[in-house]
Amino acid sequence: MIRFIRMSIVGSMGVYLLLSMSFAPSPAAQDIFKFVSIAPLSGAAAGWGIPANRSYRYVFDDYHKKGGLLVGGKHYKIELIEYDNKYQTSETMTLLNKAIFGDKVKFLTVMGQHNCVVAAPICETNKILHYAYASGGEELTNTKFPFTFRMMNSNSIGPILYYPEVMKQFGVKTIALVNPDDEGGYTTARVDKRVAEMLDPSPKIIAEEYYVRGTQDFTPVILRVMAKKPDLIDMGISSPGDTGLFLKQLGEAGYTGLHMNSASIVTTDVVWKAAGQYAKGHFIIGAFAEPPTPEFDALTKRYLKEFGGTAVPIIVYDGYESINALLMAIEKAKTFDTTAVAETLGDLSWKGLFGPARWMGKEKILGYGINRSMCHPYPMCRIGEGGKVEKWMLKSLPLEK
Amino acid sequence: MSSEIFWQSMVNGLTMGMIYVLIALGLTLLYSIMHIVNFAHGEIYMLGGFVSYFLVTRLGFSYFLSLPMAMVVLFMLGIVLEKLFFSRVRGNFMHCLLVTLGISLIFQSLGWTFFGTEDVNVPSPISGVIKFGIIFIPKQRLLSALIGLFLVGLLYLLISKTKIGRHMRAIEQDSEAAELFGVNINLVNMVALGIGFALAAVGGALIGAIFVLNPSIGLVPMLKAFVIIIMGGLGSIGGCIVAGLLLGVIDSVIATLLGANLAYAVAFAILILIIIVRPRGFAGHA
Amino acid sequence: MLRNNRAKYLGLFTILVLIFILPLWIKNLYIIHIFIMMYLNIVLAMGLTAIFKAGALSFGHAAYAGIGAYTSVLLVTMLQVPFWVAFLLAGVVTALIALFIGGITLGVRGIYFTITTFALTEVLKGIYIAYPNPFGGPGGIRGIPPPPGIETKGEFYYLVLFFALISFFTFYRMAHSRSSFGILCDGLKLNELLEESLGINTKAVRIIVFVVGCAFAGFAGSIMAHYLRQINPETFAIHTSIDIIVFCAAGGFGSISGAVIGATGLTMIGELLYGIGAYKSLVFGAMLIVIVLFLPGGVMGFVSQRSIKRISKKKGVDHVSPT
Repeated sequence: MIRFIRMSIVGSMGVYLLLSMSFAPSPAAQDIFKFVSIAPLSGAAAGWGIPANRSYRYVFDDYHKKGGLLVGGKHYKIELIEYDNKYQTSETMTLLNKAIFGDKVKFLTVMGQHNCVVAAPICETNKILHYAYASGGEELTNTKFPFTFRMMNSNSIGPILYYPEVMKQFGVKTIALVNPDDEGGYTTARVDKRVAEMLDPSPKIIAEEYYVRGTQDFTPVILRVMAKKPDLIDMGISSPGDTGLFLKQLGEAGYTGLHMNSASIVTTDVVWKAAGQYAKGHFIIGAFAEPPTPEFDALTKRYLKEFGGTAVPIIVYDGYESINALLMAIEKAKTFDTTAVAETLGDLSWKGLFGPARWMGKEKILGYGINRSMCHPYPMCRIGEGGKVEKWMLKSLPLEK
Repeated sequence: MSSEIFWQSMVNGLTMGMIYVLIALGLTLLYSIMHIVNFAHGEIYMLGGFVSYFLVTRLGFSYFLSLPMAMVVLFMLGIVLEKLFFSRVRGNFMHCLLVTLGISLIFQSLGWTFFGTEDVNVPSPISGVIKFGIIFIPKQRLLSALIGLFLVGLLYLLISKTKIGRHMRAIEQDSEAAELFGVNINLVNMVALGIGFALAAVGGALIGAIFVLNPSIGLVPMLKAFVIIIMGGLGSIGGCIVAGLLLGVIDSVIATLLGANLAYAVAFAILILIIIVRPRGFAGHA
Repeated sequence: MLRNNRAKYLGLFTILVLIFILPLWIKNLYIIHIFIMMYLNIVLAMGLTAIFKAGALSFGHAAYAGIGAYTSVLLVTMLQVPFWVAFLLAGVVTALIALFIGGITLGVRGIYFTITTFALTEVLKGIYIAYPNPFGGPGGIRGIPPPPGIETKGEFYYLVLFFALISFFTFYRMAHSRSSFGILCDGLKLNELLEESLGINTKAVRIIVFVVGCAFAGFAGSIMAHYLRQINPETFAIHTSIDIIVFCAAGGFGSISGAVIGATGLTMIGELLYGIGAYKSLVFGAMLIVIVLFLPGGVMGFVSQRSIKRISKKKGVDHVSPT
């Protein structure tokens, strides 16, 4: 009998919850454009997710200053819905269900290579425009997923642009790859090897190592890598914290060669704090020593003023740039229909924070078959004394079609 | 694997093993004397690191001073937790696990909230590397191992040569009889608990200067600590030390040979083997 | 009194009917998704509670779901085994591994068992990551085909509902039977000596219950894998096991029905907490502590205690102990 009392109480609570969820009134105001962000807002990767969401808000605020998003003669208010996927695929799946079937959005962004890869087919089936914040390669942006766009530099771009340069300038002939042992790490290594083969002259990849993300003791990996005597150690998609620790232990072990992060978004002061002098000379992609455009500078000042700190996470710039492009495409297409927007967006080229920008992928060296990967000038800089960003080179894939 | 790499990884394993020993000693003290299974021990280690970090970077203390200070802070936290929680679940294994699991979740969550998500590093005045022939040891690691050894030695002296150590051993053997003989159970228990917490804390502080700190670093070392105390035998300090160093070496060598993921599998296989063959470990009491 | 009872039966019956026809009156696919996950959680919680009642605390229950999931997926995708065969084999393989581990660790002190379950979770995760062939590595395995004939969420809903019901009846029968386990579950606080003298082979009971509990976890894992269409090592890691523990604690670790209540309630609460992800650990941790220290019967035990006090006051009866 007690059991029945219990079950009735919980049962009625449950039914009440269900009813309130299923009959929740959709936002009465028709002129609202909803956009969902599924990103890590807690845990280790929150250092990427939280700044990214802030950058999206900046874009929306800028559009609101102009009166809103202008589509079909009407102005729309833009609403950002933030969900925390804790950087896990199981959470991402549930949140996708929530966003697509609960909030009924048509445009969303997912962060994390492994998360985006499971999101892409679902978005494809439901014709949802999927903005992927993921570094991976052709398994994400390809002709099977025309609704998926990569918002950041794919992990091919670093090696394509800069392997030839380090070979030319420093005589690098052998490269060792060190990546975290997750989806992003494995795809980065695969891409690096493929790019290396397609380049001429071609660097030799002599080692391919993986470490558990969050490992602190890299000495086993370092010992194995150093035994092969590489000219350059490419840490690919490693996070700033892991990079810093790795460089410190690498230096202690007596390594004197070159080292770089060719794919990941690294904040230099984190690396410097962990590695100190051993971080000097480290090559990092995507960090600018000086602002490439006045708009870039303005965004830097705006972010620092509101959120403090000494350096703006690089993810903020790419986030701003790509969401801005999305809204431009929606306005240009004059509709919220995702098929039309995807087409317009894919063909779009513009001048943004970094200079000229557009989506690429059809090129042979990228090999995606469809233009869905963000491209703009990407610098390769080096870490200088005290964690400063020292200018080295600024190149880009051919952006004129 | 060349012999140079083998010896290097052995040395690395010994220095890391010393830190595992500190954590495991705390765990075994808590279990054998107070019958508490502390699933939050990893978080104590983590907090020790963060306390040291704050003392050095925000309050300007020297790194070496921050070590005993972190020990004192966590000693006191141990007393607080004992009064609030442990005293109510002592002896009831299941409840103890569940409550300490809850504490662990709370500390981690508070950690994310207050310490943020970026890795931090405890700045230490020591840097550089010492070379012994072909083997190199970063000075910070060597120092940490020596500090660990020193503390273990102190603990040994405490247990074997002092009155309170005798009382601890008495309680461990038979707490009712010990009480009859006039041992102040509560006081000795508190001291044991405090020492256990303090050892974990200094482990965290030492690691904080070698590697980095973030609120989730507690889980894996705690798992290793549990394996160590079973290997060494529940309640045995000597066994704990031997097992800790052994696990450190095995971990390091296997990781260098086969990769870190398989190092877990090997440690686990050893655990299963011990449970089958000799459940009381190297030197535990039956 | 009869009228009281009838009202309750009616209430329960209504709820059951609503649950059975749910996909007909709730069109929101997201809510159906939540229910599907909830039923799977219920099966996992029931298994863990049964293991607990038999005298062991498993910290790695999700790992067994993982074994079932990976087994089923590999059989279907690599060996083209039909789904239902793979599903059965998933349970069998999980049961065998549970038998092996349980056989070794359930005879010695409880702490060994618990640590082993914890360690097993980490080790399996390491193996899945270290051997992408065949386990798919850190990215896991994608593009898993659903069971034949079960494509939409509505169809999955019924599959999982039936699975949950079968599991419930199994565990319920086990707990209320005249077997040794049933006696253990009756709440008699027997110590091991007494149990032996009553002819109960404690170790054997524990192993059997452990194997059954884990087998059902394996089945649940298989269904989960073919529903989500993808699995990866993180899905069955330690945080999932901890979630299941919290479900059971909410149900008081006391009964099979309690497990159902706990899993249901907390899945719903987990949903509501989506806005404050970081604090989920805080809330769950606090719940664990509060329940263990102050509400040994779980949240539902607390409710039933209050109801009993109220009812017994009404009838002028002295405090009655709960069933």
